[in-house]
Amino acid sequence: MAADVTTAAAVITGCKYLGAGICMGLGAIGPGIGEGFVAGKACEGISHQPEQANLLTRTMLIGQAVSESTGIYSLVISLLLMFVVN
Amino acid sequence: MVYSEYANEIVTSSKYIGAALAMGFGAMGAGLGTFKSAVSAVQGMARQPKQDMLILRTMLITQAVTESASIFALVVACLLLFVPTSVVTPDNYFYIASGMIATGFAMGLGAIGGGIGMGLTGEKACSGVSRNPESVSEVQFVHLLGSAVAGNPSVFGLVVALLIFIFDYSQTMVLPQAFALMGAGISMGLGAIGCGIGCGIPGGAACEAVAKKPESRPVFVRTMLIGQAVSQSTSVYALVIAFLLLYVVK
Repeated sequence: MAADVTTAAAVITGCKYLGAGICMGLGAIGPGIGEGFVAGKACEGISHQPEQANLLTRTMLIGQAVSESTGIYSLVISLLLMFVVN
Repeated sequence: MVYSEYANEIVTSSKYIGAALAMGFGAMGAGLGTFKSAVSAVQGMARQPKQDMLILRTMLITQAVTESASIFALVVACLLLFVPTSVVTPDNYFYIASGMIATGFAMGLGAIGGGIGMGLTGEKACSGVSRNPESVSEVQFVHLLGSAVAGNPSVFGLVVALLIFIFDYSQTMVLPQAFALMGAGISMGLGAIGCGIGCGIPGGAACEAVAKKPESRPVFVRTMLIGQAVSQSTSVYALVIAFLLLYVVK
């Protein structure tokens, strides 16, 4: 019985690590695609109005920073799962 | 450990599963990517039948670049099938089995994004060349640069897959590490999908823009690279988590 309890605890710890991996993996999909869309549209906008390149780059970076936030949430949750949660 | 009398059989079958995952998922991205280049090349030839050889050449270059993601997957699948792992013992067979499947996940899922992303860049390169055949050298430069960045997440996937494959399984390991290996593979594999696609979109937009205005190539390249660098960041997070899972947690 004692051995079973140790195994169960080890499986729970293992599932935390597996969860951290799945969390970061899935969480990286959305921001990656979303930020790409922003950058694509910025290139397109600059090709229409090259004199506004600085304005468009600035807006692109702000938009991407906001899209990035969900990726950072995933990173935080993964780190919490790995090092904090018991 | 349980079933340790079947240790060798379990490791061998997990290597087969890993190879199938690596190549099966790995073929998806490049398939979706190369077809996009072909479609836009055919459309371009319909518009400009006189430029058929130029468009064909561009299509073949873009497809060859796109294909590289699935070639990584092919290499890892062959590695899993034919290269022996570290010595299988009744104590470590479970970790090796988990690691082999994780190798398949890291490479297979990691190749999807790169394939689609490089295909999106190639698609716009073909349509740009067909619209403005004089801009071909500028478009190809931007295409190669954009594809190289879009293929980067697949390289991360390859690196993590190789690191899991050559992991030191002879050390004393604890049960959670088997899950951590799997988590590292899934984290890097899934994390590379979005960034691959995301880096391909600005690459394609820059190719299209350069075809319209070849003289302002530096502005487009700069914007493309800044945008791609930011899109790339989430796959770097996934890489960091994969390294932590592989080497730090116990």
